[in-house]
This record gives sequence, structure tokens and C-alpha cells, in this order.
Amino acid sequence: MKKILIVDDEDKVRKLVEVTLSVGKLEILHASSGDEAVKIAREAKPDIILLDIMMPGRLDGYDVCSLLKKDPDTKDIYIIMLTAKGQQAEKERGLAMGADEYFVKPFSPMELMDKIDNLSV
Amino acid sequence: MLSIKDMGIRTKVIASMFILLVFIGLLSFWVSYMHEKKSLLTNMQSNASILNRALIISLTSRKSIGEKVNLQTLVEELSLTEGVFGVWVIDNSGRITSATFREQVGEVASSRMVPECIQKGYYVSGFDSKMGEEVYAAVYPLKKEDQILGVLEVAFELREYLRSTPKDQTLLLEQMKRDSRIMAESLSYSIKNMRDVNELIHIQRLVDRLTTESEIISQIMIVDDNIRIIAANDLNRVGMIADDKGVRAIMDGAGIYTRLFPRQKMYMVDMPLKIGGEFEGVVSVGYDATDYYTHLSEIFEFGLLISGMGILLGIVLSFQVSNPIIKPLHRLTEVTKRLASGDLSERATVGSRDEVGTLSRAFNQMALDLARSKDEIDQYSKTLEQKVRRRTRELEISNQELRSIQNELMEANMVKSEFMSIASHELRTPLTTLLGYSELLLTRPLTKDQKKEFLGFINEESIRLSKIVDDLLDISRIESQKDFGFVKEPVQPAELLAKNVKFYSGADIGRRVVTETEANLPLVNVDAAKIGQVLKNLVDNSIKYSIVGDIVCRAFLRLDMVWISVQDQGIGMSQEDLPHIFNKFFRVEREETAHISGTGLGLSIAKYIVESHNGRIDVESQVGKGTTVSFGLPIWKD
Repeated sequence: MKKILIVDDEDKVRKLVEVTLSVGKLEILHASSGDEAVKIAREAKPDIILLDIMMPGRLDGYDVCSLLKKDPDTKDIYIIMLTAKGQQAEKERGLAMGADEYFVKPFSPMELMDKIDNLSV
Repeated sequence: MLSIKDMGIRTKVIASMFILLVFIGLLSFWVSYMHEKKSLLTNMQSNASILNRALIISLTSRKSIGEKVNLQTLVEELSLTEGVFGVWVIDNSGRITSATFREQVGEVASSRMVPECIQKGYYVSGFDSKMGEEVYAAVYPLKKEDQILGVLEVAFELREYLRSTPKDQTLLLEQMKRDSRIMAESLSYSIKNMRDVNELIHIQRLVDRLTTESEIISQIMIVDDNIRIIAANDLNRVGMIADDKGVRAIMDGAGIYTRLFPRQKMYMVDMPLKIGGEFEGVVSVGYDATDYYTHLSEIFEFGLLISGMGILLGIVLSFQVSNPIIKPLHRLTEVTKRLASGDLSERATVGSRDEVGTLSRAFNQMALDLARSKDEIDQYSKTLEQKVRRRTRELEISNQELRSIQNELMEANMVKSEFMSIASHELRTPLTTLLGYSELLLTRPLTKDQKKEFLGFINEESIRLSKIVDDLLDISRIESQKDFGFVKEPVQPAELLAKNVKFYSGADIGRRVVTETEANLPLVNVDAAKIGQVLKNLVDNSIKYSIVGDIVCRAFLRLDMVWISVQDQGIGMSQEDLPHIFNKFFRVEREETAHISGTGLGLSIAKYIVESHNGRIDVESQVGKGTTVSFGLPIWKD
């Protein structure tokens, strides 16, 4: 069973993702800030992280991605950026931090579900 | 080679003065020398002519010349006697005085009997040979008071004697001896009577005595009208033809003729010898001119000395005279050199009123002008430097200004793109909810509660989206300086407050929003809707940034404005953040505020609206204690 960590400061968005993915056999974890995301990622070792960028707190999505990809324990986690930052520069920056996929908000729940389903992790 | 052109002025002046002085000296010397020479000559000439005249008088008083001529005539007459070959009168020096053959006069008699007769003083005769012919000659002494003055020689032809028999020859010889003796005796008597010879001898003697005794006479010559020399100090010359320039000039009628013989140092004076107006001959006297030449050389030497001294004096004088000319020029040259090397304080000395003085004055004026214009140039360049420095400073300042403007622009640009990013994020977040949940509602089989919950989300986010769009439109209007189109009217402040706060009383915010209004507030002149927007914005902020405590809205009169304030007990703001809160897109970035969404435009819009009503907006805040934002509105006037 795939383990997925959803990182977003907006409850509504986390809930949306959770409901979207609830039809599959997945274990869903939640984090509402960068620090929380890093902590959970290291403890629970999820297969996939859906990571927002603009979040309150010390670490934003870029920092989280960079930290996890540098850590040998967590570098294999498949990170999908799920963010409202839709500009090309922002996308490039995310990929440069080691993100494997970049999804721009607003997104289609169906597409996201297809993506997750098709991942071979 | 050094040419005159290249010499210094000093050398030129001295040289020209020197040459001038030498020229003047030589000229004056020459003039005085010639003058002296002429006066000496004149002096000598007058002396000589007086002497000559004296000699002539002495000669003519003896009438000897005329008688001498008679003697010759007598000799020639005797020669015509039959059998006589020739007759000769010879003086005691053996020289022929008169002769049948006139050309022989002056010669030394060739007969060997003549010296014998002169020496012994008695009659001598015998055979002899004359001019290639055999003659019988008889020599008879001419005596006066036992002094032999000369001799008389008579020669007889021997042709008849030689043709005769020896017997006849003896007879003929006897006769010849007798005849000749008679003839000679008679002739000598007649000659003695004539005193001719005596006088002749006297002339010669006078000549001799004059030349030997007189220091000034070195040569005397007396010539007859046939230019034959009758008497001369040099006996060898007596009887010779005197063919010289002086004698010929006198023969041609000149009264006097003088010549100088520099080599012999002699002054020759020729004068005619006249007896009773009759031209008889020439007297030529050579005077000793040693004195003359000595004087002349003395004058010459003295002149040279004077000239030399003059030249020396001239050299000294030319230095003296040239100094006042040269010195100022020298000084001027020195000053010019120093001036040219940059010492502008140098001045020439103005000593005289001449051209050099004028030049010096003009030069000084020039130096002064030069110094002044240099000062001006220096001053100008200083001013220029200052100007350049000031301009540079101004440029730097304006550059700085430009830089700061550029920075501001860049900042503004950054702020703008950041705003775009924020705006995009703020728009996308509600859109995500709208799109996501609506898709779920459409595609998933959901429970009734789920549907209701999701529709509630959609409604909330729609309101939020609407507000964001309103803010963005407002700020866009402000940005493009467009008028909001305020509709101002008299509004009751209490009413304004109550109307807008009422909206929150129903909402579940967990806190109270209370109002406190002063009594008898005047009406304000505002657009009620826009001021309401400002008020709601402030209350929203207070709710967003505070967790507990009442939010108090007050209306009160201060000075000439009605003030409305919104006070909370929220997180507050730092003093550093306060000045920026009314800037567009500014948001306080703190951990507590991170989850609070907003565009950073609310206060900016509020400030604009208040100020557009000629009002003022103020803020007071303290971290952890809360924030109070107040705005003053103008009172309505009828």
C-alpha cells in the first residue's frame, strides 16, 4: 500500500486531495507546514509527497524538497510539487530542488488521481 | 666662420666706433702732415730762392759771363790766322776754358806740355799731335801777380814744314818758335788785360767755396745760354751739357723751378741768370734738405704717436660710450631669458629716456600684462576647476538620484512581480477549491452531508475570490490614477459606524465588535459606501491579526475633523514595519501572519480613499499589545 504525504497549509486543499485519492488503496498522511512535513517524511518514509510551496513557518516547499532530496534516507521519495506558483521560473526552481513532478493549482482531481495510480513506486 | 652678423651688439658698437675713430685719426694726421710738409717746403723754397738770388747778384756783379764770351770770340778770331791749327785757353786745373773747337770746352787738355807749364810756370813748346795731325805746339803761362791762372796753347800746322828740305825745316822751326812765342805772349797780355781768365777762375772758386763752406748748399751748377756747364762743384761736370728738367724749364722761360730729391735729401732750385735783362744762363743750386726730411719724419712720428694715443683713447671712450647702450640691453636680454623661463616677477630697469628706456618700459608693460593674463588664466582655471568639481558633484548627486530612482524602479518592479506571484497564488488557492470540489461533486457519488460541506467550501472561496478581485480592481484604479467616482454627501458618523459594524455582529468570529460614538457629532462629507469599505477593511484586519479581545470602533471629534478609530488587542506591529504598512503589496512577514492570506492592498486602498476625501489616516501599534488605526474625515459644510 502506497503511503502518501500531503503537505499544504490550506485545510480545504488537503481535504480535497484526500477525498480525491480516497478511492484508491492508499495511506494518507497530512502536514500543514514545512517543519511538520520534514518530520513526518523522516519518520513515516512515504512513497510520495504532494508538496505545496507557499506555506507559513520556517521552511517553505522548496526548502523541504531540497532537504529531503539531500538526505540519503529520504532522497528516493517521489516528490510532486502541488502549488499555485505557476510561473515558468518557479517551476524550474522546483525541479532544480529535486522535485520529480510539478503540478500547478488549480488542478483536476481526476488527473492527479491518474498520475498517482500510474506511478510505479 | 664668425661673421659680423653673429657678433654681439657690444662688439659691433665697439668695432664701429673703433673704426670711425681710427679713420678720423688717420685723416687728421694726414691733413696735418700734408699741411706741415707744405709749410716746410714753402719755407725752404723761400730760403733757397733768396740764396739763389744772392748768388746770382754776386755772379752778375762781376760781369764775368760777358767777358768769358769775349774770350771765346777772341780765341776763334786768332784761330783764323794763317798757319795756326788751333788756340786753347786752359785754367790752372788743366781744363779747357775756351778753344777753337768749341766742343772741347770743359775738357781736360790732352797736351803733355800743359801740366808742365802750369807746374813750372814757364814757356814750353815742341812737336805734338792734335786730332790726328802733326802740329808744333807752344804753351805759355798766364800769370797775374806771379800766380798762374792758367795757360795758353797755340798749335801751328806742320804741312809746309814737312814738305821742306831738312835745311829749310830748321829755318821754319826757328820761325815757328819765334812766331808762336810772340803770339802767345801778345795773346796772354791781351787776355790778362781782359781779366777774363781771372774772373772765370773766380766763378769756379766761388762755386767751390760756397759748396765746401756752406752747410746748406750741397751742389751748385752754373750753365751758359748754350746749356754748357760753366762752373760746378763737381769739376768733372764743367763743360758738359746740362740736360736736366730744371735747366730746360728755365730755358723755356720759367722764373723758378724747384725739385726734391728724396734719396739725396736735396732741394734743387733752378733760376735764370740775367744780366741787364739779357738772358745769360741758369743757376742751379742744390740745398741740403736733411733738416726738412728730419722734420718731416719727426712730424710723422709725432703724428703717429698722437694717432696711437687717439686710438687708445678711442677704445677706452668707445667702451665708456657703449656701456650705457649695451648694459640696459644686456639686462633686458637677461630679463627676457628669465621671463621666458617662467619668472614673471622679473622687470627691466628703466634708466634712460632713450629708445632702450622706451623699450624697457614697453617690455615691463608687456611683462606686467603677461603676469596679469597668467593670473587671469590661473584664476580662470581655478574657477573652471571649481565649476568642474561642482558639476561633477551635481552629476554625482543626480547619478545617485538616478541610481536611487533606478533602485526604486527595480524595487517597484520586484514588488510588482512579487505581487503578481502573490495575486496569482491568492487567485489560484480559491480556484483550486472551486475547481476541485466542483469536479468531485460532479464525478463522485457523495453523501448529502459531503455535498453540503463541499458546496459550503465553494461558497466561502467564491466570496474570498470576489473580494480579491475587488481589491485588485481598486488598486488597478489607483495605479492608473482613475477617479473612483466618489459621490459625497452629508453622512451621520454614528450611522456610518453602526451600519458597517452590524455586518460582523452576526458572523461567528468569537469576539465582539463594539462601537463608541461621541454625542452631537457633526455630519461628515463623504462617500458612505467607500468609507464603509475602509471601515470594514480595518475591522477585517483586526479580526485577522488578533485572537482575543474586543474590537472597538470609535467615532469622535478632534480639531476640525470627525475621527473613526478601530482598536484591537492583536499581535501588533513593530516600529520598523509601521512606516510601510500603507505601501502597496506590503505584508508583515512573521510566523504568526504566514497563514493569514491577503494581498497587502487593503491599507493602501484605505489610505487612498481617506486622503481622497481630504482626510488623514494614522496608525499606532505595539507588538503583542494591539493596533489602533484611525482616520479623520472632513465635516460637512452647507
